[in-house]
Amino acid sequence: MSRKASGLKAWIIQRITSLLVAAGVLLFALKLLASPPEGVMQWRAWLSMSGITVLVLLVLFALLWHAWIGMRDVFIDYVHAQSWRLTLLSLLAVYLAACALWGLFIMLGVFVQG
Amino acid sequence: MSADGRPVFLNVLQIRMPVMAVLSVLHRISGIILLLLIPPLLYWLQLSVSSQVGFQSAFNWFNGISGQVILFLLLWVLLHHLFSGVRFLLIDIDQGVDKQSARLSAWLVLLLAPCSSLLLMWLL
Repeated sequence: MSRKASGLKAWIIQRITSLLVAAGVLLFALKLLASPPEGVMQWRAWLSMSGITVLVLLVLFALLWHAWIGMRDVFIDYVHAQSWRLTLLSLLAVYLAACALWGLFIMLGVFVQG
Repeated sequence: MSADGRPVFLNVLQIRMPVMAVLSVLHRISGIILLLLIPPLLYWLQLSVSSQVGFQSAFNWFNGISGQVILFLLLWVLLHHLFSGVRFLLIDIDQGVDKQSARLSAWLVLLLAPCSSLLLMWLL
């Protein structure tokens, strides 16, 4: 995709990630409604099923990417001073990266220990 | 006045906004709120898997009146962002673009979000 189409790329990724997150929210709600876990062992057992672990991480990373694109749009719209915009975007990147790593370690802990 | 002398009027409190505009602003605001709620969400997850005590604590987080109120607000923010997002996706594929449909779907989303939140809370 050419440099001029980067807006289109962000637009498409925003749509795709939004669908992933929506699916994740739906799954989580259905799980809680249909078969709520009765204790920590059941909860960990469900989360450590390989399909579920992958799904949770996928939804989390989709959420963080979706948040990046959305927040970047907000900064572009309202923060006109380039120095401020760069600072805020950098802070956002660190914030989202930290969330990604934190989520990864939570799920790895559950997956490895069961 | 802008640099070339043309009049500028950007007082958002005085500009009359149609319901679709209000929805669009709320979509943005709810998104920002949700962004700030990601660490608490991760903390909740971590707590829920830490131990039986942690699990019970996590799943009892919203007990009590204030807990229920907070849960309702959280669900409202989430569902509002989700439903208005779906509305935008439908507009992307040319569903509900005309003014009448857009107004209708905007009101639908605005009202559906808190109602669904209440429904979910009742079901849970």
